Amino acid sequence: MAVDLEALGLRSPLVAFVAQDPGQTRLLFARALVLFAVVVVVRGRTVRGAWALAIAGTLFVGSLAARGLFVVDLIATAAIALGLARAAPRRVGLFVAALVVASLVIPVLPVRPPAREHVPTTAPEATAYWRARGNLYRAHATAFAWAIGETTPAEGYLTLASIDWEIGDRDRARRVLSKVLANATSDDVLARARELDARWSP
Amino acid sequence: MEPVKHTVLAFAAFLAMAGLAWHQMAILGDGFWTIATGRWLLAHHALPTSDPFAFASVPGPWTIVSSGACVLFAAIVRAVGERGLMVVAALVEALAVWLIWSRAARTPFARIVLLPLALFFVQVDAEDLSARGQVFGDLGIVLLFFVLAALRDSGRPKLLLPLTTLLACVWVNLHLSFVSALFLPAACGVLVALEPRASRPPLWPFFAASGVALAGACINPYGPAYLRLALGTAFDPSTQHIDLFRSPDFHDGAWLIAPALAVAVIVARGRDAEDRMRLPEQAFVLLFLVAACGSRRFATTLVAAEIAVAGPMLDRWRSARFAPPTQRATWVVAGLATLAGALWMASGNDPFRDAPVAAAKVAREAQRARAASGDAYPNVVEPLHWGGYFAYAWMGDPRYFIDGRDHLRLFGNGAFDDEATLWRGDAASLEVLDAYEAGIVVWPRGEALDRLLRADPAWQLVHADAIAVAYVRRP
Repeated sequence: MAVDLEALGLRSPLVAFVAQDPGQTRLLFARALVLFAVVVVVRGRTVRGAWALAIAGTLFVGSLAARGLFVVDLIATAAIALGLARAAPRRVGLFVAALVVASLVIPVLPVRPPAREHVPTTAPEATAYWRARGNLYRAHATAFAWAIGETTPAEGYLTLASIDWEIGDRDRARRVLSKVLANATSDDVLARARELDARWSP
Repeated sequence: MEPVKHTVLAFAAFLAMAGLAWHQMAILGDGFWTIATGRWLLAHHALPTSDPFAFASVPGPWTIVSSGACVLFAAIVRAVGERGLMVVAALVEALAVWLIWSRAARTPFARIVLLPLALFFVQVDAEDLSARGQVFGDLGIVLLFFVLAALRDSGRPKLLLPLTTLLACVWVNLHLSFVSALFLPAACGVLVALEPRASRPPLWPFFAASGVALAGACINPYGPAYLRLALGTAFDPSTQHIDLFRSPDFHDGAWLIAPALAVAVIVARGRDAEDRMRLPEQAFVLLFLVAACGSRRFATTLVAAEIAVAGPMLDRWRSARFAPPTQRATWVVAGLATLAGALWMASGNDPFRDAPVAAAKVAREAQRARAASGDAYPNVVEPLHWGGYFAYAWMGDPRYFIDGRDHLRLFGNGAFDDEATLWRGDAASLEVLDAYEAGIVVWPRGEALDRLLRADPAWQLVHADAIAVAYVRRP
């Protein structure tokens, strides 16, 4: 089980805590859990208990300013909690021990890297991808690249014209469509271009 | 004499809180698009079928977020202007903090001790304090705290549950933070379960409060959509890129104050004479401590939780030895609070101090000229945080690139990520400008994109002022 030294703050100990950095949110929960364990086990108004809680809390706040204190905070607070739990009622002691174990296990659990969505590399697929996401300008840019790659106006031009129409640039859509009507060689493309032309006629 | 003194202190404290809130108040992007949306609703007496403001948003139906706040803000601006809106927002924020301060701390000693913390409630997130739905969110949280305290102490759910329903029903129209009313009571129910059975209040009202809050939110026709949006905003990875939702900079000592105070309150509550609800209240503060460490937006709520727990504690600590100094200090503190409040109120506050007013005018004229000439690059591109002002100033004529309304649905089509790319000011930024057919760029002065375009012969600088630059693409 590999331990992430970066997340534990051992590579850059003076960097401040940022929950959004990799692995940091679970470290926050781990430290909050072990601090909660101390809160639970410090029962009654004892001076010793107050000092224990104050030390644990100070370590928690300190580790916000310097990640290097993460491990110190976690281990010291866990030790405080377990030390106090020995004198606590059995039920409380078991609960605190469970919290401490959980807080020590959480930081070393393997993390699945966030899934990243990849934009398709071919122009037709990328155009379909951006259209499906509702980004007409990105779709237009990829459809334009697709269209200029066609030797005679075909599917790329038709798609480009449709996207122009959806963007609201009617003149540009008609200009692109006119190139298809004038130069397309495929009967199917021509038929669909005529259909669009009829639909878009003022 | 005593009641008069208490009243003077309460009044002076409100003056100080309102003064500080006014001093820090601004209208940022969110405030401007809220006004613009409200204006659209008032002008058309209908809901828009598609986004009227931005060209890069997802086409199709647009769900307006916090429509009640939009209409309210537009009506206030129509009646008393932008500065008047800032005054109203400052008063709402001050009311929120004054309510929690005055209800949590009942004795003069406790109120004097907690007054700096109450002012810190306003100051802690001054950077983001602005006229927007968030001020209603702060007020809603405080009212929710009252409901939770009442459930803890009185256990009269017959009265409190309808109030919670009403709170959620109104809150859902004002700010997405209404989800707090859905989850916080249930979370507090779990915390209250930590209390020994003998002194524990009934648990079911806490869970019932969450249930009726859900019902209250969903009474609104937009409720379910808002709920999805709020939960999506909270948990979507893209939210982690928004400054407000990120951890504060803990190398700035000011951000360590609230966590340090939280620890102090937890320790002090442990030493407090009142045994009942000790552990749940400590856990309550710890809960908000964790939330505030994870996201800057919860810093204010953490301070509210600290006031809510520390107030009754300080009330219990009032003893004979504190009475004489408190007697003398009340007048002094009231005087100082009045003076501070008056000074803060006297400071000028320009609603447009952060808005690119002149650059937007130049950009609009340039866009109209390019559109009239049929230019292939007619669009205006600006940063997300200025989009709200463009919505307000242009009302959709022309439409601009992006704003901060909703990064999940409206701009979750890649435009939000592309805006982030523009800040890099590299070759990828130029590719984004090409993809969105940008002919005009308005950008903060001195940023990487400004430097990139200044050095690029394809772009011409047409405007520069203290905060903004405007470039047009050369033919």
